[in-house]
Amino acid sequence: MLKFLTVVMCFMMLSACSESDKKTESADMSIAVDSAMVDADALAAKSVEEIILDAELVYRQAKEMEHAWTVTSKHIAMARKLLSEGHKDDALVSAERALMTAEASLAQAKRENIAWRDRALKSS
Amino acid sequence: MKNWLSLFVGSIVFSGFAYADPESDRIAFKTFFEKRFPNIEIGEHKDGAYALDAAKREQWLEMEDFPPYEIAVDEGEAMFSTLFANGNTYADCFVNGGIGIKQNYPFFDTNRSEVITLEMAVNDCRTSNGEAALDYASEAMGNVTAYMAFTSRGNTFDIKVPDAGLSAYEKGKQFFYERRGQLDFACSSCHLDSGGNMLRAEILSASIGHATHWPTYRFKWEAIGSLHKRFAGCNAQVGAEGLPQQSESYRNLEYFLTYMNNGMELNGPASRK
Repeated sequence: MLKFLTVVMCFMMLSACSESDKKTESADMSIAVDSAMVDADALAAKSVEEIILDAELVYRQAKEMEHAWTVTSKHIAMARKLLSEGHKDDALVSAERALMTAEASLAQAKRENIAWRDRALKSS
Repeated sequence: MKNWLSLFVGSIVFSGFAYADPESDRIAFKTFFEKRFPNIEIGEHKDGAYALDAAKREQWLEMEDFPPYEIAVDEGEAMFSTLFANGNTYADCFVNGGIGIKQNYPFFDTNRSEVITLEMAVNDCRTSNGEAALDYASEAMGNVTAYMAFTSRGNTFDIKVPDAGLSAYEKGKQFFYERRGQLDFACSSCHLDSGGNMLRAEILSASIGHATHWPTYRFKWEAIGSLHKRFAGCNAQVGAEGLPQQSESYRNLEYFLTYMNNGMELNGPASRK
């Protein structure tokens, strides 16, 4: 009996979680962006090269899920170029942007793997 | 006994997560667009945005007087008729000699467990006859598929989804509804939710009818190109990295979209802006 109730409650909880409207989707995106905002203190402790490597790692993860953003690879390329030319401060800006967009794209991939179902047309 | 009862109930309550019925999806899709565009017969959506605006349609019909894809069709016919080194031709690979068969593609090959598009079938034909495969983005592939599409005009799609193909169909459906790119758009964002609306200076076409008219000569490309090339372009427009033509995901997406177009008339190749 207890197991039966557990199964039913799990289903009810999952059903509630799957209900979403545009406001929730918007909130989800905000959460995704927020979660992608990198910890400033943690970043400050890292070198530009390390941030670029982090960005490349996350970019590859997003690409593996077929959700890479075009802007991420551009920021990575720009960061590497600026770093090689000795423009460390500018390279840092590009590297941070690369990491942020990479993390946002990965968060999008994970969110959308489930969220798409709420958007699909339902048969009557 | 209690464990079996829990399992039984669990399987019932979780059955909502099982694969959808493609035919129910198609009917829901069709009904959506019938309601969205009550004055446009569903079959007219094969002309895309030109079914939605009279002035644009008139301009487009004038362009069709001298179709820009004519050269591709002629060159494709020449390719189709040219013998391979071993003496065979494309006609030896396809039912009905490859004439009037595009409505059968894509299909789910249960032996290979994957979706096979017309472009893949062309390359399968070539390699099985000792010829080099064509680059999917090549003019040659565009030409031969343009010719095959031309011979299939007027036929109607009747795509099947066997049980083994449900996973591929579902993945294609997921791709269609999944948001991607920095702009966070899904295919459905523009071509379902916003179909008929303006995006900059263009009218967004409805998804129903999206698979009927390929390959297409796009004036933007100044060349004939495939549906997968358009997928990649759309992905890039929303800030997402496009996938290679004939990638598994794009084939699954084409499978889903084409199933949604079952019963619709093929009218490729076509011209588009």
